[in-house]
Formats: sequence, C-alpha cells, structure tokens
Amino acid sequence: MNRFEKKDDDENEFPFESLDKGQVIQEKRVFNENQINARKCSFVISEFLYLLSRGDTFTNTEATDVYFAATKLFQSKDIPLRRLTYLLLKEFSTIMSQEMSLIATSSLVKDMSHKIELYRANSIRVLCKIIDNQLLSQVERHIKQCIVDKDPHVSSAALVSSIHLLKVSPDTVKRWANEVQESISNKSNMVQYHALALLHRIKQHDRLAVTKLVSAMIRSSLRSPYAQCYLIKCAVEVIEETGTQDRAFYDYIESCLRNRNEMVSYEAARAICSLKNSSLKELTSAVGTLQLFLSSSKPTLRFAAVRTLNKLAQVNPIAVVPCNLDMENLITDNNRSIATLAITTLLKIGNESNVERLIKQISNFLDDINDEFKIVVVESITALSIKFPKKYKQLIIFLNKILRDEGSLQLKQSTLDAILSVVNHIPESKEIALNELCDFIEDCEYSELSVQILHLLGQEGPHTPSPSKYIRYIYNRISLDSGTIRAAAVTSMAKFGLLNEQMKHKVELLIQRCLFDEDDEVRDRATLYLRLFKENNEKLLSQLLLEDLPAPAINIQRSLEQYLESGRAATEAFNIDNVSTVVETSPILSSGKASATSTPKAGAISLASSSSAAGDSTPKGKEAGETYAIKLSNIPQFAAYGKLLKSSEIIELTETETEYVVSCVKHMFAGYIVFQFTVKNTLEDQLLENVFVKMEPNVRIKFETYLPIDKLAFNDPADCYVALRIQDSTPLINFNNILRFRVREIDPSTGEADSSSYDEQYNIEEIALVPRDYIIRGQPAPKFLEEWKELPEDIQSIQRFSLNIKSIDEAVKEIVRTLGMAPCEKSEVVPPKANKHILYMSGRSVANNNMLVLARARMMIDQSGQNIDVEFAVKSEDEDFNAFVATESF
Amino acid sequence: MDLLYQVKAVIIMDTNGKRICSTFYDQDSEELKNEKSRRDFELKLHQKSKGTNSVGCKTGDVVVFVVGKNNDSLNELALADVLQALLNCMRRVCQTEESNYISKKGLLSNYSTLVMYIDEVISDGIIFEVDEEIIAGRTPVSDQSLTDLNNAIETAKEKFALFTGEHSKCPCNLII
Repeated sequence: MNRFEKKDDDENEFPFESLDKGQVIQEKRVFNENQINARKCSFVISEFLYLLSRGDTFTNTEATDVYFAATKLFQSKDIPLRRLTYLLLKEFSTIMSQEMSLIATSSLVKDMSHKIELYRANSIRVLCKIIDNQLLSQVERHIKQCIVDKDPHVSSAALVSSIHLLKVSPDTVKRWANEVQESISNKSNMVQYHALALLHRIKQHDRLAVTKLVSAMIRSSLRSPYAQCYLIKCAVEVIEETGTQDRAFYDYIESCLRNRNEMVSYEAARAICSLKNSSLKELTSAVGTLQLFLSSSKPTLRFAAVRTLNKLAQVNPIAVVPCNLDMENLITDNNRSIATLAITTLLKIGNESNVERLIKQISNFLDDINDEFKIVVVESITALSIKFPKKYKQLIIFLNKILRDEGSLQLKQSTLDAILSVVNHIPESKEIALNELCDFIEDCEYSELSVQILHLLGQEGPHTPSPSKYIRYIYNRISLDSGTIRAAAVTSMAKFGLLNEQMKHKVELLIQRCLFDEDDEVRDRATLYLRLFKENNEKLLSQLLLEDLPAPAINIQRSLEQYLESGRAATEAFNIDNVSTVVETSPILSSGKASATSTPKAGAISLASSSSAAGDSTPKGKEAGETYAIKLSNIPQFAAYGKLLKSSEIIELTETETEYVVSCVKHMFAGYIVFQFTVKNTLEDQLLENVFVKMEPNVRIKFETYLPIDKLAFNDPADCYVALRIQDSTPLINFNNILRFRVREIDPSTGEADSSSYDEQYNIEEIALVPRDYIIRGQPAPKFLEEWKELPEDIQSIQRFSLNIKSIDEAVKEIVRTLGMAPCEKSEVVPPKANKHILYMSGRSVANNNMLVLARARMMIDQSGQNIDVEFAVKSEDEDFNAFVATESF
Repeated sequence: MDLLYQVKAVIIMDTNGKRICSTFYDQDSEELKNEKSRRDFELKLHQKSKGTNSVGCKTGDVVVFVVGKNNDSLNELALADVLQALLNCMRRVCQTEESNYISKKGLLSNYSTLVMYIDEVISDGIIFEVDEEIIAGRTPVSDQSLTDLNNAIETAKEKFALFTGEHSKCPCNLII
C-alpha cells in the first residue's frame, strides 16, 4: 500500500483525527441547552479531551470559557456525564488562571459530601488542582472525612489529593496525620499504599520521625505489594541516611525476598544489591532470587533481573558469578536490551578463557542493537582491555568493526576513544590498531575522526618498525579529502620527516606537491614545513610539531582577540609570553557587583571568544562566565599586579543551603595573592551592605587591600576581595574567616529596604595556603627524562613516606591531586596489576620567574599490601623551593 | 529521591508512531516540558533508539508505553503492572460483540472511556489503581439504553421521594 492511499484510509477510518479546535469550541454550546443531552455533551467533552491529548493549545480565555460552560453540566444527573465533566474540569483547570477556576468551586465542594462515592472521589481530585489556602481551610473537614471513608475509591482519592496538596499547604496536610494513620488499616491494598506514602511524606523532613514510622511499619504486616515496595525503599533510605547498624531494617528487606509477589521480592533483591553494607549471606540470597527471574518467561522480569545484576557486577563481580550460565542463555534472548545487558554483565565477570567466545557472540547481534547500547558495549570492552591485556587483538578488531559499521558520531567517537585507550594501555596493540585505523580513514564520513586519527598516526607511526607504509595512507587523504583533513595530513607527514631520518627526503617531496593546494591552511603549513626542512631547523620543527602550545588554546585565542581589539597590532608584536597559562576549570557565573569597574568591553570580548571557541575542545559552561584574568585586570587595585599566574579551584566555605553561601578562589600573582570571595545572599527579606570577609591569619602578616561588596541583594551573587603581599616567599598560612556585613531588612510586601540597619557577622570555613598554590600546572614537559637529567642533582630534595592507599592507580591520582602538577610521559597511566610504578610530573613555580619544577615519585606496594611506599624527589634550580615542595606537600 | 511518583508518561500510539492518546505527568522533566519535546520523545520511543526506562507492548495496530521516572528507584515490575492494567482496560474499551481485540479504531471510537480509564490507573504520576474490575467499577460507561433507563429510574425515584419524603439511594450500582 503506498503512503498516500494509507493517509486517505486514515482519514476515513478513524474518528477525531481531522478535528478542528475552533469548531469544537463552538460545539460547547450544547452544554448550555435547557434540557441537557448527556450523549451529545459526552461526545463534545471527549472531543476536547482528544484535542488536549493531541497537543492543541488553548488560550487562557478559551480555557476559561470551556471551563465555565462545563460547570453548567453539574445540573445533569447523568453519572457517566458527571464523571467526564470532572475529567474535563481537571484538565482545563491546569491551563487557566487559578483565580478564575476558584470562582466555580461551589458545585465541587457540594459534591465532596455527596451520597454517591464516585462524586465524592472525583470532586476531591478536581478540587485539589485548583484549591488555595483559604478554600482549603473551608473544606478541610470534608477532606478529613474522605480520608477515613470506608469506600476505597474515596479514601484513595482523598489521600492522593492530599499528597498533591502538600505542595499547596504542607502545614494543613500535616494536621491530618491521625486520619491518614487510621486509613492504613483500610481493607483496600491501594488505600494502604497511598496512606503509607502520604504519612511518609508528611514526616519526610524529620529524620527521627521517619525512622520511627518505618520501624513501626516493618512490624505491622502490610498486605499491599505497592506499600511493601514503598516500605523497602524507605528502609533503604533510613539505612543510607542514618547509617544505622540496626539489623531490623536489613532483616525486613531480606524477609521480603521470600515474598510471593515478584514485584516485592525484586524490590528487596535490588535494595540489597544497592546497599553498601549488605552481608554476604543477604547478597547471596538476593542474587539467588534474581537468578530465578533470569529464566522467567516474562521479559520484564528478565530485564529487571539482568539490569540489577549488571549494576552489581560493576562493584562486586564475584557475587554475580553464580549466574554465569543463566546469563549465557540470555545472549540469544529475543529482547535485544536483555541480550546486551547479559553480554556486558558477562564481560564484567568474565575470565580470560571465555572472553574471545563472548566477543564473537556479541559481533553476531551487533547489527540489531541501537547506538546507545553499542556505546555501553564499547565501554565494557575498554574495561576488559585493562583486565585482559593479552586479548588486545580480538578487542581491537571488534572495536574496529563498530567503527566501520553505520553509526552516529557519538558512537564512533566513543569507539575511537576506546581504541586510543587500548593503545595507551597495551603498547603491543599499537601496530594492529594503527593498521586498522589506516584502513578506516580511507572511508571515514566524519572529518573530526579523520583529523584525530591522522594526528595519532603522526605521533605513533614514525616509531613503528615500518613507518613508510603509513605515509601512503596519509598521502591518499591529500588527494581525496577536504581542506581540514588535508591540513592535518600535511602535519602528520611532516612528523614522519622529522622523526625518521631516512624518510625525510621522501616526505619533502610529498609536501612539495601540496604547495599549490587550493586551501590556504594546507598551503601555509606545507610552505612552512618545507622551508624548515630545507634549513634543517630541527629545533623549531620539533617545537612546532611535537610540543603543545605554551599556553591553553582558549587563553591564546582570548589574548589574540584582545590584542586585535586594542589596536596595538600596528605598533607592537604579539607576545605569547604574556598569555596566561592558567587552565581555567570552572566558570564564575556571578555578575560581579563589586567589580563595578568591569567594563562592557570585557564582556564583549569574552562573548566573542566564546562564540568562536564553540568548536574548540573547551569544557561546556566555561563560555558562560567572564574569565578570572579579564575580571581581575579590570579592577584597578589589582591591575598593577601583572599577569595572573594561577587560580585555584573553587573552595566552598559554607554548605550550599545556608543563609549566606560563600566560596573562595585563590589567585596567584608574582608577589601577591588575591582571595576572591563569591557571596550569595539567599534571604529574600535582607539587603546586605558593606560585605567583606575578615581573614584572621595564624601568623603576623600585612594585608594589602580589602575590597568589600557595597550592596548585596537577594539571590544576586557578588565578589569581594582580599589581597596579600608575599614578595618572593612561599608562606603556608591558615586563615580563620568571618563574613561581616550590615543588614537592612526588606519589607516583603513593598520590596523597600528599611531605613535602619545593624551589623552582623557569620562564621565560614577556614582557608589554607598549601604548596600546591605555589606551583603552576602548565603543560606537561614534553621530554621529561632529558630535562630531569639537565637539572642539578646535588640540590634536589628527596623525601620518603608511606601512603595509606591500596592501589598504585589511586596513589598516582592522590599525588597528582596533592601537587597539582602535570603528569608527563603518560606516566599517570598505571599498567594493570602493577605493584610498582614511577610517576613523572612537571610544573612551574609562581615565584622565581616561572622556574621549571620537576618531580618524580617512585611507588611500591609494601609487604602488607595495605600501604604504598613513596620515594618523592623534586628538582629545580632553587634548592629551597625543592625542599619546600618535597617536605611540605605530604 | 522521590519514591512515590513513578510514572512519567503513558503513551499510546499507532504502529506508525502517530499519537492516539498520550498523558504526560512530569512537567518539570526536560524531555516532556513542551509539545515539541514530547513529540521527539514519542519518536524516540517509536524508533526504540534510546533507553527510556519504559515498558511497552504492541498489540494489534496499537503500541502502548508506560514511561518510568529516570531514577535508580525505578521498579520495572511496577511499570509492567501498570501496563497490564492499561492493556486490560483498553481491551474493555474496544470490546464489541464480535471481538475483544485492541484496535486504534476501537480506542478512538470510545475515546472518553479510554481517557477515564487512564485517569483511574494513574493520578499525576502516582499509581492509583491497577485492578481492572475496580477500575471498571469506578468508570461508568455511557450506554444510551442504560442512560435512558437510569434517567427514568432517577426521575421516578425523585418523584417517589417527593411522596415519601425520603432520599433515594443512587442507582450507580446498576451501571457497569
């Protein structure tokens, strides 16, 4: 059947599909007839309901008209029509203004005590949508009555409505706790569930009351499966939040495993798997329950079980091993989601002997699953490569198959990342991976990926036994692909020429052919490289090709834009040394009232840079804020401090839900430190004035400047500053901090500030200066080992200590975090199961003119297996600084 | 963590992905906040191109999905329970003398009954009732002959009440 015919059929066959809103609105006049025709009215109502579900929008006036017309229908005694009228009113009340809907509530209020249950139940459900505090106090009596109504329909309706009413007036609903408690014993299962849920919500903010409620409920015997599931969730919440050791909660959950209802036993099993402190016995029986589900005939049950086991396998693979056989049966499950989850679970708990077979099995059904699940598979494969490095060959081939099949960019990027990660972890895999990738770029639809692969080829290719074969693939790109890719290919080839002496001549010939390329960038690169090759200027070449930029790309871009805008371009050259090397990790979203000097121009710059940097690999959100450097340089007091060398991460000095939220960033300049405090006032009825942070150091020092916030309005964060002069020293100081300010009360009705004010202070967390603050992370040193040798041996500082960490990988992360230096030579990658490792790091000092600092940490797991012994060495030109870093950091 | 609001949407569409009746309970969710994102969401469900925490079922020329909240406390079996309740109700909606298969035509012809049933199964994302018989009992279906009969009885009773001075008991038990 062709599509056109089918559409015709649709129109003839199905009622409503060609409904017109205007026409239906006209039809509502049947509501107004003297003798109400229930049938006609019901039909018009269902037309309205269809329009709503179809997504047609009604204006406020239209909705109000329909609503009022429909209230006429309360005159009819036809019960089905009444039921529909309730539904219509409920739907329309949400799209019109509350004031209007409140006018027509008398019929609804009357129905709340009507003798027919259906009227009582439904009127209360409609009413809770439109009610306000005043009306609520009038009908409170009725609602309470409905809650304890013997009829389950009425009681359920009242309870669920009360749950919604908690949002309108929590205090009123809380007064009904006794009625709600009473309704728990209603004979209906659903009422029991709704009553338990409401009771829990009423007490939600009182942890002790919740604990009491849950322990009481555990002892009573609930019948409703939904209520039991809910209670299990509450028990988990209590265990997690209070960290209670009371086994009663655990025992209850475990007893639910044996519940006849699958929903309840599943909920219990899942709860046990998610809890951190489940005993082995509990875990075993939970897994046993899930195992039974795996062979159930119901797909939902199989899915639920395999999903839970998959999650468990992430943290505790051994616990899942008993299900191995059942899982393997699920690989061929008709439901692909189940099959994928089974496979990835098996991969997580798999052993070296069956990995190959598993991968083969996945390949067979790969075509049937969607990209999202493929990404899941790719991620498990990456994890597998770390676990079983010997299987790299199969893994690479498998990943490559995904790379070549149809797929979204996101999937391909994840796959390429996975391959890169395998190459990084398993050097042996390099050659096979490069070969496969070469084949891939022959026919790659995404230029982003091609560029990344060309970069990788240039980086790794020259070091392989037969580099010349890669050149052919790269050169093919130049004749076949777009400008971006051609440019990347030229650079890639130049790297071969630089790194492999024998190939230099050949590369030069190839690059020469690109001199007349139609793309500017390709031509420019070719000309530059060729010239440098001719001059034999290896130093500059390697700087260009192998070293990263001296500063983050985004900073360079910003500086260049500033440079162009300033008009200096005609008179002086751009100096890259002036570019900040601060790697900015988090945006400052505050508008900065204190920095009233911040000119609109600065905003314009950061906007411009953000729009053009969109394609860059900058983390999202950074574009949103002004950057620290620009912001500070626009404050006259700090302008003289020179270039911003380093900014710390944001340090929270209060909890995020307190009255005043304060965070701090430490900015390092040569000879100065600026503390930037971002303060947010979360009290609507207060205006704060002259806000500043009083810092009390534990040693005597002199502060340079205090910059307070003049006025701090509600919910509009601003910054105040404290500056400190340190010259060339590296003091380690602790500060106790107090937020000080004057409060002006604001009248909530008028929004005007009171004329009188009073002083107030607020204690906030401490701040410490640590060695890391005096080290700039910068870019990793490209040739660490050579530079290490060049620095003087005799003034290095060595420190030996032991870290209470069990794995080398964790220790590496800890050391990098503590020092804030950049890992070099890929030494942050720890081979799996290593029991010793050497970590290299580089950085620059804030003082001493950005002096290079190198650090080496030799790590070894000690005999107990509980600690890691570290020999930590620091080298730079300054003996004191070496000792400072080595002894004060840990 | 919200333990109570379990259902984010109920979506009934035909096998071409065209909406028959969809109810969205979670206005705050980015995925369902306006008509456009809702359509996108339905399309995704239709193409099954995204994991959406939902259970679904195809029956005749109709596909039904119950979409759960995106959080860890999701109980798939509860969603399956809801789905089963909806399917039972839909079968009732489509029931005629000659067949009891769910069909798009059947659903649209008795649209108001369908919407009422859904309203009885879920109330703003909270599971309200899943027992088919109870739901049917709470949803009076307008049948012309019955309605006339009811009206007659009602009028008769009112007249009668005038004589006796008593309030009559409602005839709602007569209605299926």
